[in-house]
Parts: sequence; structure tokens; C-alpha cells
Amino acid sequence: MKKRSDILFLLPSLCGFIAFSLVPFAYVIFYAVTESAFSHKFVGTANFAALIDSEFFRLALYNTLRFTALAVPVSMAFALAAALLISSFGKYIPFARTAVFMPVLLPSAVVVSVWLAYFSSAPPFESLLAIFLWKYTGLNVMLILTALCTVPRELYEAAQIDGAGASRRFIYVTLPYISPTLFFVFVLTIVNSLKIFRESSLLYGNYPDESVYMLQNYLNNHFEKLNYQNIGAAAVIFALGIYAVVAAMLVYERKRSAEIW
Amino acid sequence: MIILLIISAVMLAPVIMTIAGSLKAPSGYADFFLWQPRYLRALLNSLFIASAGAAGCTVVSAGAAYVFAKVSFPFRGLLFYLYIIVMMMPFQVTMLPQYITARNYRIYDTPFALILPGIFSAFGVFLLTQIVKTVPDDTIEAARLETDSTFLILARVILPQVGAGMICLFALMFTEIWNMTAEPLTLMETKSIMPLAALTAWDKSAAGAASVVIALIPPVLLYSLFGDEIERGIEHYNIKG
Repeated sequence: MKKRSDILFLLPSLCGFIAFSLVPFAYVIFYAVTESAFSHKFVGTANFAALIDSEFFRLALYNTLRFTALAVPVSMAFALAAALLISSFGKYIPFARTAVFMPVLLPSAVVVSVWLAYFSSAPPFESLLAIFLWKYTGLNVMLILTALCTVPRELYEAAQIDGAGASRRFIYVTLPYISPTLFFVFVLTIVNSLKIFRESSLLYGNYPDESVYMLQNYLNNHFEKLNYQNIGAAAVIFALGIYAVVAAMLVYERKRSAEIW
Repeated sequence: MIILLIISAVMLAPVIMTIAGSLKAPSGYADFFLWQPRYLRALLNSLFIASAGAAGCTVVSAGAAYVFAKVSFPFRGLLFYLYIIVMMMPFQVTMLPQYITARNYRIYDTPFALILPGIFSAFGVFLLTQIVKTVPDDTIEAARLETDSTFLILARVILPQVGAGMICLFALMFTEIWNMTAEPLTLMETKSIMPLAALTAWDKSAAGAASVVIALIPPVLLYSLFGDEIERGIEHYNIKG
């Protein structure tokens, strides 16, 4: 017995969402398929072709993929290990959680200033990787820790009685319960790995070393030049990549819930 | 156990080192508070922008969350998916159009250029929706018998249950807006209205070091006050159900 007028509560958010999220994105698509800032002629995929020809774009794409492909598994592996470790120390969980989550809350300038003071000679790619791991693994740890708490204790005991060793217990008892969370953490980490741009620009400026020139740098630099076409096309590709990953997660989650029911 | 201590130490070390480093040049603090007013002004800007953005976000997202969680309407799932996708996009994807829309809406170079997008953040809606979903439908039905006003139901029944979540959202949004460096540089020009993080990000002077430490304080403060709520809220940062 819901009132029709309830939907009004959605209106403020929806208006803002359209104004500040959808409209800009519509612009992006518009720029991606038109000729220039002045002519507004529809040119379809010409901008995308020009983009792929651009050496800078290819470099940015390659670096971004390389960074994410490395950062995500490592962060998840660390997070899983850390979460398992912490969960076995019931008493210290609150302290460990705080310590581990703190980096997420801190301004990027903190780790950047420390890095510059002690590790300024480290290679850029590895530096960014280390900084990313330091900053965001804690968030993953918290999410996985929470999921670990949902596993019923009795199952572990039952498994132990049946003679299952630690790794079998992990595979058959723990994993099924934390899989949805793991998947969400996977997607979230991919998305967060793109945020490393903040630290990258603080450490290396707008035109960093070849090995760390990423898509965000590309977009940022072309912004300064007001190069609509490049930005539009690059942004669309970037967005499609993110969309593909998120959509895969949502589809997977849908199917999984369906299976459970 | 040792590993645990090592992990904690690694996580906290940079903070301690930054604080220690800034104390080596205490003149920075004097500059920050006394001799160079632009820092204090930036600090106040940050406080204003982050508070307004986070507070507005909590209110707006709460309304939207109720609708997404409890009211069925056509294309609800699709719209929610849209919110999720938008939530995952990095700023750089839409930074140019955001610059253009900011100019069109006449909020460019005003605090609202940061506050308004903060208020309508997709993340807020997402998080609160997941939390409101945990309120049992029966509770709401029972309240329906008492009163016809949805607003009252929201305030008396749903709010107490999701209050922790709203505090969590406030803390997280505040921190996110507080730490923004790229958005202010894109959407603002006048130095005097810039928030602290953006103004001092590249500042290598003693005052810059001091401001990094000062910038630490509100997020840490919020976390120490509301850590429980934040952790409980993040538990709902998930896609189950």
C-alpha cells in the first residue's frame, strides 16, 4: 500500500543526477562523434580511428591496463591474506581494522610527501603500485573481514571433525560464503586503481615518465588544450571499459542470486 | 601476531612520518595560522564545502534510497544500474563536460561547483539504498497503519534504523570532498575560494607540510568519533540482494 507520491522523494536526487552526471556524459558522447568544437557534424567513428592512431593514446591505454592488471590481483591477494590473518585474532580486530583503513581516509599528500622524502629514487611504476597497495588494500581488508564474519562457525568445526585441513576448509567452507564480496571487491579495486592519478600527478606532474603515462593523464592533458574530440573519444572508450567490468559483475550477481533461490 | 604488527606499522608509518617531518619546521605552523591568511581561508573553505556537500548528500540520498529500496516503479532496476555505473567512473572521464556544465549552470568558480556534485553523488544513493533495504517491509507496513504521511514514516521509523548508515555516509562524503584535489582545480579559478587540499597539494614549503598535517585532522577525527558507524555502513557497500 504505497503512495504514488512517494516517488517524489527521489526527485531531488534524480534532478541532480541528471544535471551533474548524465548531462556531462551526454556531452562526452556528443564530442566523441562530432567533427570539432565548431562544426558539430556527425562523423561517427572517425575520432575513434584517429585516437587509435595516436601513439600517446595507445601508450596510455597500455599503461593503464598494465597497472590495473598488476595492482588488482596483488591487492586482493594481500587483502585476503590480511583479512584471514586478522580474523583469527578476535581481540585485535578493532585496532587492526582502524590501522588498515586509515590510509584510505588520508589526503594523498601524506604518502606522497613521505615517498618523496625516502623513496624518491624508486622507479615510477613500482612506486605507484606500492602507494596504491598501501592506500586501498585496507578498504578491501575491511570488506573481506566483514564477509568472513558471516561464515557460520559450526561449518568450520564440522569440517575439522571430518578431517579437512586448513586449505580444504578454506576452499569448501570459506570461499562459497565470501565469493560475492570477493567479486565486488574485485570490481571496486579495478575502479580504485584508476584513482592513482591523484598520487601520480602529485609525484610526477602532468607529463610523467613513459611507464606511468595513463589514460587519466591523457584525458587531463587534452583538457588543458580543450581538445574535445580526443577527450570525447578517449572518455567513451574508458567508460565502456568500466561499464563492461561493472556490467559483468552485475550479471554475475544476478545469476548467482537466481541460483540460490 | 608479528605480521599483524608489521602490517599495522606499515599502514600507520607514513602518517607518523609526515607529522614528525612537519614538526622539524615548526615555522610552518606559524605561517599557516598567523602570517599567511590564505591557508586559514582555504581551511575554512574546505570545512564549509565538505560539510555542506556531505550534509546535503545525506539528506538527498536518504530520500532517493527509500524510493529505490521500498517503492517499485518502472525501470527502477535500470535506473539503479545507471547510478552504479556513474558511481564507478573516475573524474577524468567527464572532467571536460563538467567544466562546461559548471559554466553553463553559472556555478563555475564558486563553492557550489564542488558542493552540488557532492550533494548528488551516486555513491550516497547506492550506499543508503543498500542500507534501507535491510529495514523489514513489515515494519513499514505497520507504520502505514498508523499514519498516511510518508514523511513521518521516514522520520520516525526508517531514520532510526538507518541513522548509523547516514552518519557513515556523512563521514565518508566529508572525507572524499575534503581530500579532492583535481576537481577544485578544474572547476574553480580564484585561489581565495579553493579548498585546502587543492591549494596545498603541490606546496613544498614549511607551511605546506603543516597544512598536510592539519588536513589529516578532520578525517581522523570523524573516524575516531564515528568509526563504528563507518564500519557498519561499509558492510553494506556490496551488491548482494
